[in-house]
Amino acid sequence: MYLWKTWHDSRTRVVVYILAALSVGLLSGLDVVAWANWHTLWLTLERPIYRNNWDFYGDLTFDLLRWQVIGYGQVAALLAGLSLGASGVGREYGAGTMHFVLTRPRARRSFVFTDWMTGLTAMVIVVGALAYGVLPFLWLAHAQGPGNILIGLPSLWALGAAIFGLASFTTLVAGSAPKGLVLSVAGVLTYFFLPTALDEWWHMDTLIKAQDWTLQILARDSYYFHWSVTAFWLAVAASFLGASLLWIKFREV
Amino acid sequence: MSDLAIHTQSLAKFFGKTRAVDGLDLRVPRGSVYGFLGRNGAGKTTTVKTLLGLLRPTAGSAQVLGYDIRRDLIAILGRTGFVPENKTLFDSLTPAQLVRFNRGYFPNWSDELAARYAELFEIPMHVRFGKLSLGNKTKVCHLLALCQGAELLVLDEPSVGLDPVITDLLLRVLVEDHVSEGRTVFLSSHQLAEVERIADWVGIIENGKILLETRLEDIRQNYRLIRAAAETAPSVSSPHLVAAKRLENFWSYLVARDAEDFAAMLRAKGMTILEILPVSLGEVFLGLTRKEVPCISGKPGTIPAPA
Amino acid sequence: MLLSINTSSGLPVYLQIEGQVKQAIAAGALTQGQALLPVRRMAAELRVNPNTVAKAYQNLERDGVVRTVPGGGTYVADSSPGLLKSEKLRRLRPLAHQLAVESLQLRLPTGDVVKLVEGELGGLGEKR
Repeated sequence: MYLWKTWHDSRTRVVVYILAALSVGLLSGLDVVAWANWHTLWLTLERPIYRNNWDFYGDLTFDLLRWQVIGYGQVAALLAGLSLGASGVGREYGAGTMHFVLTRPRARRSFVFTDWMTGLTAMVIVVGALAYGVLPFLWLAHAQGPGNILIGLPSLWALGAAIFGLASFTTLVAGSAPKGLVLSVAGVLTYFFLPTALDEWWHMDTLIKAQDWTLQILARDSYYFHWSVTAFWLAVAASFLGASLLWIKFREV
Repeated sequence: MSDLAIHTQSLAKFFGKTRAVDGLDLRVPRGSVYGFLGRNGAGKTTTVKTLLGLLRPTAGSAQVLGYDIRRDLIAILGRTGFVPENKTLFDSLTPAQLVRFNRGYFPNWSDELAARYAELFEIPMHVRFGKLSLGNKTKVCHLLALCQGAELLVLDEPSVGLDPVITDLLLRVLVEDHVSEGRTVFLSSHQLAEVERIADWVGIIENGKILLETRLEDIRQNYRLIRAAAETAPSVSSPHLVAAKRLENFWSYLVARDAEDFAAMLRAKGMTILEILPVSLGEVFLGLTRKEVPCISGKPGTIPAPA
Repeated sequence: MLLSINTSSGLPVYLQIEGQVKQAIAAGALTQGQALLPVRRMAAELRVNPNTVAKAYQNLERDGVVRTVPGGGTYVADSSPGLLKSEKLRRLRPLAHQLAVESLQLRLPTGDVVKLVEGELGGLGEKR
């Protein structure tokens, strides 16, 4: 029942995101192919040995596609994470409907779980949608296969899950979507700029080194699956889940 | 199975320094219609919220339908239909969708009752909740609570925004479909006339404590208003004196029992008894909670002769 | 049979019900053996607690005005020959007192008051 309601509330938004991600993926693919064609043509004119060299063409396309997917993927993870998180059960406080939700005969934690389930599933679909847009162009990258483009996506999803967790928790604490969003954006910005600020002004580089480690998954030219970094972001998400469960258990209406 | 639908023992809820509920002993018999009365700020809504798990009690204990509010809250919520003071539901859903949302939680939900009430109360079932008038919103809240097949109905200010016709229908529905089925109705309202019609028990709360808890029958049989006149103001005392009022030479005394004895005492002090009247629930409530000089409200006691 | 309850009249609801049932019988609107509405139905129609209606019916039965059948159902009883005249007079005394108080207040001569009562008795008797 609450699952149906959560889906009912967010379905328009999720559909929009999927369509946006699909079209971004498609446009990226087109853009990359056009660029690759142009670049190959130019090189062919310059150096005749590149004529009809499909491998080179394939490599180039692959690199560019990967660049696009990971690049847009970060944005998708950030935006979807924030907005899906901010539409969580915390909104019901501000709307004055929390007393109704919490007097249904269910454990309070079930409402948080339902939120997370719909949110994280939607995130999988949205972050994956980028790749779906790109896949048609992968036949050009037949030399290396699609696995290495998609390999970066689960890590991006984990990052998105952590951002979702942050937004979900702040919305719960603040009691409304706008306030929750403001708090979570503030959180993201702090995370982004604080280590740099500390390094620049006070020459404390521990935080920025830690930050660099956590953001390796955003690197577009790395071809490995970063197990530990992904685990780190999943742990961050899990701790926000735990915090949310505790909060709703004790919150009074 | 307990014979009390709601039973609290020294229940307390403090908000910092504010003692909203302060040693509350409530006993609501099963199958009764219990009118829970009190002035604004007396602790009615805080009590209701604490019984339903929206607030955590500071001290004391309570059982609803035999289940402890701290340990078995979900069992309570599954058997209780609740209409809160604040009649808000999800703005983006229509009443029909809200019914669909709610029915999944209650195995005893009655679709037949839902259809009947929707028509009876003239509820626009396909207009988004956010766009409904206050009266219609209240009706939808009732619809969701009344069709659950609940053993206990907890209604906080049920007639807010309802026109007289719908209020009348609501009373009828409560009597016919709930009271007659042996279910308990716990009603918190300022509409004393309505409470007096359908309630058989009444509990008055003030400053977070029960001031009076009795059958309505007791009030009808025993509470009396004695109107008397005297040239000089007498000094009277009685453990059953609830409140007294004076206007020049005319006095009215509200007594809780033994009105004839009290009247005899007044006669002995030289007063002329004009009449002894039965009192309405409203008069008892006002007598107990209004700060009336010279009798201290709520405490039966002595009326001193004015200086 | 439709009754009308006024909660602001100061008279308890069950007394109003009893009074109106008795009045209906006196005016011939309810005849011997006729069934009253069941407690639950009457309570719903009047929007009052079923216990109140039950109490009124019990009192009416105690006074011999109605009788209840074990299977359920309340019916207008045959006229109550079982009551002693002294008991019947005792029942009427409070009403007579009220009439007397009002008459004295209005300074009506006793003869006029008696004529008034006779007129009422006669009028109701005709309607039977």
